[in-house]
Amino acid sequence: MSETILEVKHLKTYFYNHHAELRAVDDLSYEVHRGECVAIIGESGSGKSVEALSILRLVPFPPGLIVGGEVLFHGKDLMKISDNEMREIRGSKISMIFQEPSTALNPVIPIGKQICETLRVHRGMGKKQAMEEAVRLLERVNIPNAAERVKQYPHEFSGGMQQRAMIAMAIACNPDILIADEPTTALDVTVQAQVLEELNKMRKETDTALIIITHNLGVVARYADSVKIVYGGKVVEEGSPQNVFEEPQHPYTLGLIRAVPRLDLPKSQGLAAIEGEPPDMSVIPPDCCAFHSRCKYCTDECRTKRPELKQVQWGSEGHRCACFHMDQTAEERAELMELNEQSLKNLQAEVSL
Amino acid sequence: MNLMSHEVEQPISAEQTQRLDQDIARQQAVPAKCKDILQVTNLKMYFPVTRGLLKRQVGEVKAVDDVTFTVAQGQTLGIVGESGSGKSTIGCCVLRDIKNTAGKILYDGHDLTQIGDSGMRELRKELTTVTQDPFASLNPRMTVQDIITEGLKVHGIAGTKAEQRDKVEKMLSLVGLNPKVSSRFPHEFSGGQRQRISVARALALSPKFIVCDEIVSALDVSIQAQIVNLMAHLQEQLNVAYIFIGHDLSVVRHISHQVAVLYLGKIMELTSSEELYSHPLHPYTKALISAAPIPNPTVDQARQRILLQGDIPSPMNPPKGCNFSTRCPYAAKRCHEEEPEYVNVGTDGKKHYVACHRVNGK
Repeated sequence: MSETILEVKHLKTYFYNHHAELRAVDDLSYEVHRGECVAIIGESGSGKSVEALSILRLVPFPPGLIVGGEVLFHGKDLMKISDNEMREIRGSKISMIFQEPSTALNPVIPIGKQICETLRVHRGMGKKQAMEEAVRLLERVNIPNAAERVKQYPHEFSGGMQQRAMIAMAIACNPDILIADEPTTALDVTVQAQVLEELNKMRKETDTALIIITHNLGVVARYADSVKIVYGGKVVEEGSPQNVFEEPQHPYTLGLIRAVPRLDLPKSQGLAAIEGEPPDMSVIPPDCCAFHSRCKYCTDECRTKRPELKQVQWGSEGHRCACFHMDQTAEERAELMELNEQSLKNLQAEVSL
Repeated sequence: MNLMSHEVEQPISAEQTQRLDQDIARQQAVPAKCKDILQVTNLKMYFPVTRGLLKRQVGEVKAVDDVTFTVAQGQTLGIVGESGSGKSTIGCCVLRDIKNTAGKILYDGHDLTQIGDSGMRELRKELTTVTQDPFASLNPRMTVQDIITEGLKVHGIAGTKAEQRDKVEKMLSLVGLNPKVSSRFPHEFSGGQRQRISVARALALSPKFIVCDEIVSALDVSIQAQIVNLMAHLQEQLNVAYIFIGHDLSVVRHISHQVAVLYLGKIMELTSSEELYSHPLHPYTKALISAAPIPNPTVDQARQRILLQGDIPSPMNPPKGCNFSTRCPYAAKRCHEEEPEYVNVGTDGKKHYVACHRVNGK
């Protein structure tokens, strides 16, 4: 495995209001290696975006506060450095792509000028030089007619192109890490595929590590090197995509995968929905499994003890899961594996036709 | 603050779900010979583009251009397309929120384009809608009780206070909510629960037909599945027909009997959802299928992948010939010049409409 560039250790970000403490990110740890693609998957309110903002120290205070943990970037703790040092890193060494390109871009400044800003601040380029570089960057993300396009305003770009412009801006300083927070959620399916290909190509070319944050399981199955499923601010399962998608252990992971209708299989009868709603994070007691109220395998143990993230006994190295009842999900897992096999068989039949 | 779900929701029992599965299986076994409740022929909706003080018309946006389809009683037609393809406009035309430019909309024997406002008001009891955003579509100052009974009051069929209360309780338990929540306000509910309230509101008038416009797009994956199951369950119980509009082909195909794939205001392909899975014909449909993510890396990598270039063109200035020709990997000279016909290519009496030179030519 190549060099570790980012190490998040026991990160805790809490939000406070008059009467409650909300544990948005609760004891999260992971590593990112050079050129690796890490996918963080969770539903809304699971703390996945706050986690990304915490790394860049962009969580607004008040109400948010990073109460504990370390974020080691090349061995340096980002939580301890000064604001000025942090500003040096933000946008140049670690950059971010946001969900809604139309709101992340400034509507009254031409695209080119917005890209130049990064280049001039972090790479100290002159006006003219920066503009030339901006054109080159737009060409790199496959925007046709880039020399003309740099002068245009965001509203003249389509959603997909806006997101490409965001990518161009994010890679302007050859960052070590690119954090993409729901990069494709606001886009159409066909454009979504284009943008993901683009991001993946960038990653391969520049050896940048990519952290993709998403709620869509399928989106990352193809690209990720490692996958983390978060629920209630905690990682409930992690491992390689093969581990997590093909042999999921946690009841929540299983539920998520089975809740998506499959286009690669004949129509099924009724979706396997997870009952209930995502938990209100301000009322989950810390000493329990956050998923217990929706889980069909829930026992008293789940209500009173918090499961630790443990290596799956029969799984491959690095496949870890936080659940007391991993052994009980076998039946559901077998059903899922059967579906996958069926799908593969269908595909092979198609190819041989 | 959201309520804990167990206070608010009443799960639909396993027995009910099982019965539902059997029902669906039975329904699929029956050939599509049901009576058509909605027939839309050559529907066109052009929006004028104006400029200047005098509002001189300088062009038009062909949001829906010559669309023909039918919906059978108690069945679902799914309409899938990217943003800007005109899928919501079709819904609006059917509900007469906007007056279409041309074409006929025949609902249960009534021609909606000729019926006039007062006649339409009567029909609105049977013809309702559920919209996308559960946060914007419920009045924050009305209680759940008021929201659900509003339609009844408008139509003068609300009855006494006690009857209203009964009705609301019945509706809430029908959509899987606890009947006790009727005095609460929308902000006390989560997204999925609000969408259930929207559905209850639509059902209060005992409709025969519901236009569901992107009703699950704003919801989380796990909640999305709940609402999709709920809609299928209700269809079985109440024999309502749906137009289910969405951008996610996998969800639309799951709930629909027929699926229409829309691109730039035109239907590219319309067929049963089984046929769409086993024999997709139009290159755009194939691209949509291949772009839909599958949560399994092995399967995902084994699939053939068609990556479309570029964006959907502006409907103000659609390409000449086939609308899809600018992005189609197989586009030939003819595709750029001549518009393909929308014809039935289905064999053995199956419905399978496609508009593509490449398919029709064979």
